[in-house]
Amino acid sequence: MKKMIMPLCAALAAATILAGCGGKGEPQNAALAGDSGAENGAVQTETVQAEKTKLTFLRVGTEPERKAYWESAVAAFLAANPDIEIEYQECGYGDDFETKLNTGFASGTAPDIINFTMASMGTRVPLGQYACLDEYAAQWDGKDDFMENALTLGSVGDSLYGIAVFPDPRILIYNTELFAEAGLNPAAPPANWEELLEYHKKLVKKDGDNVIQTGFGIPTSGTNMQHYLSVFIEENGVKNLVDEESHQVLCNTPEAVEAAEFLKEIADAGIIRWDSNNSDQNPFASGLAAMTLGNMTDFHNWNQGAVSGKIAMASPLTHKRQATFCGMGFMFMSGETPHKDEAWRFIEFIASPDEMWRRYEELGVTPMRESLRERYVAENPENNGIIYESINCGTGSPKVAYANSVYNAVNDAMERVMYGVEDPAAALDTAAAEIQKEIDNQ
Amino acid sequence: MKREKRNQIIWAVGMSLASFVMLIPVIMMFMTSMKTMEEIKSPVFRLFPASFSFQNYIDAMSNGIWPVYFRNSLMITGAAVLFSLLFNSIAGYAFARLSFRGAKIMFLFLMMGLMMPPQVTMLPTFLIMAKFPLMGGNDIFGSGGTGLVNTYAGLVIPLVSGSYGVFLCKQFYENFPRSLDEAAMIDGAGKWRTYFTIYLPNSKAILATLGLLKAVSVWNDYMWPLVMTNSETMKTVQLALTMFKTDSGVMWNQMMAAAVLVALPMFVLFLCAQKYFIQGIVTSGLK
Repeated sequence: MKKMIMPLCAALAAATILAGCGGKGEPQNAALAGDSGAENGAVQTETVQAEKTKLTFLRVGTEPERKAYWESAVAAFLAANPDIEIEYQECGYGDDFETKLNTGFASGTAPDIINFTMASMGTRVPLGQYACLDEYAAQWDGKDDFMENALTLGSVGDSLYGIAVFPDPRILIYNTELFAEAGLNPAAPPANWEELLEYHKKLVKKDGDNVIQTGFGIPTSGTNMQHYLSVFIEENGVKNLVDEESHQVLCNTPEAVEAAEFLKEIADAGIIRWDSNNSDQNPFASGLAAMTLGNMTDFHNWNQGAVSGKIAMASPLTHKRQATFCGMGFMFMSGETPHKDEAWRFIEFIASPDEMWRRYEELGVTPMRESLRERYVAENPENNGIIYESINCGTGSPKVAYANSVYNAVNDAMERVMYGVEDPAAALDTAAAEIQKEIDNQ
Repeated sequence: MKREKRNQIIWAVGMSLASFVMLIPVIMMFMTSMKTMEEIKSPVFRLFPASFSFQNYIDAMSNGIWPVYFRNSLMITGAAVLFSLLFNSIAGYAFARLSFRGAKIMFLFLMMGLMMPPQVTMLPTFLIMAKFPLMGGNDIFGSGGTGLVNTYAGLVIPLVSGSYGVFLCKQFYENFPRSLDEAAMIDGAGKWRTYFTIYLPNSKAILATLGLLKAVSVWNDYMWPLVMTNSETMKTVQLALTMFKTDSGVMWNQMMAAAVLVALPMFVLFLCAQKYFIQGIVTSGLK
């Protein structure tokens, strides 16, 4: 008996200390848990809290400005919906977020509402991790007012899975000063391929064989090469790099090859080589390129740097049609949540005109409702119309489970094209074969 | 004599160079923490900043609630080190000094744990923590709540055990003379008393070594806190470092400033335990 006392005491001490560790750092997001009402009596408060539905909301990214927005949006929603409690969570971009989500779904503890990228739909929709929103959208007043393309981007097949919140279009940005120096009208940026090539040639400056200034700044390597090719193949009438519905590889169709040949022609006329993995290398930022594709953050950053006050936005180019690449952040409902109605209420709130406008005012995010279009354009007539237009004609990453393989194959192919290792047709055929192999393995 | 001195000089120069190579990342981290983003982005690399300024440190610490992140990391590391030292040394003592049925097979299973990558055990461990009975709103069968997810206990418990620590302690205790156990037995001490009064007080070197290794691994752990925590107030310092990584790029200057501060406690700990650490490596045969 005596022999048992020591280990028992040790075990008891350990259990006591660990139980003490069971507490959490601070009362979690106390402000977000809704004001259960100091005015109400204690009993009443208990009753309200007992009836509250608890939702967890996980958003991608950790930027303080966006966090402040989300926290205030959650607080505003809770004030109007006292029967709901929301636990706000956030996690950084990339593998971290995927790991967090994978663990949650694997263990049955996935968040009820998820703010994540369009690319995630390719893998998570087929697994049933994102709920189909058709049933809710059918009764949603806002659907007819919502930007049609944003709804298309949030759909897989004919079913809606994500409600768009953060658009990220690639916009044609140009340097007005370099345009003027080259005798081009700074108020008339290129509108089609022919003009782009013509302007590019006029803007290229060489010192012997060295290009010291380029017209259209396109990267020659890196993981964003596929964005550039996507823009041009879509302008040339191709749906995307692959057909999401039929899983047909489209990156080596004659139109896609023609687009790659056009990019190669631009490169041959004179470009400054840079790696798209490192946006800081983009010659546009230092005034060594007169045009490039960038997003709104790039525009903002460049406008504070060496080319400050000299840059402007242009509408997406038109060849067979007008197109650009447009990434998008969505609100998704977990396919596993038992609180679908409550989760939809939050998503609907976030997609409301008031919240959209607040996002514009606080974060500069473009509102994607037709009813807000005029007001938005009036705020900054020079740029906002172009941004809206770019989102409206934008197509994002193909929503397929093998999207990463598509990106890798196309990036490699375009690098070979840009460095003259392979001609566009052969390089894109190689990429298509790699993608097809991946599709066959699915 | 001359030759010996020459060899010594060559050795010293060689080791100094090797040390410098090892220090390059630390030097780079410190220098970057003093630079502006313009200097970092500049195509021309310069090791030294244009001017030494601690503004990045101030800016980095103004983002988020760093005292809470540091407190969380300290508590988790402290608890994990304390309990792992206790349990690992007891287990190591048992394997080294007690003969009991199934000891060999148990030790074999324990060693298998060394070969298991943490990614394999992460999900099962997470499930055990999430389904922990009577915790976090869970019923006796472990359902209905979140268990130990987002709690200190959930972060600490899985880190307390460890094949490596048990193995290290076993190796260390096997070097103790058998006569110590015999003398204790003659004096009437039982196994627990022998462990607590003879073995434990003579284990400073191994405990310091193990404690240091554990502290560094828990302090630097990223994946487990990432999976187990979901609120700002439970974040550890490693998780907090990701706040400088945004969708528009990485704020390298602030991230490096925060990284310097995050690395500092482990640096100080290593300096304090350096003497015992080397002893522990020598006596346990650790390489």
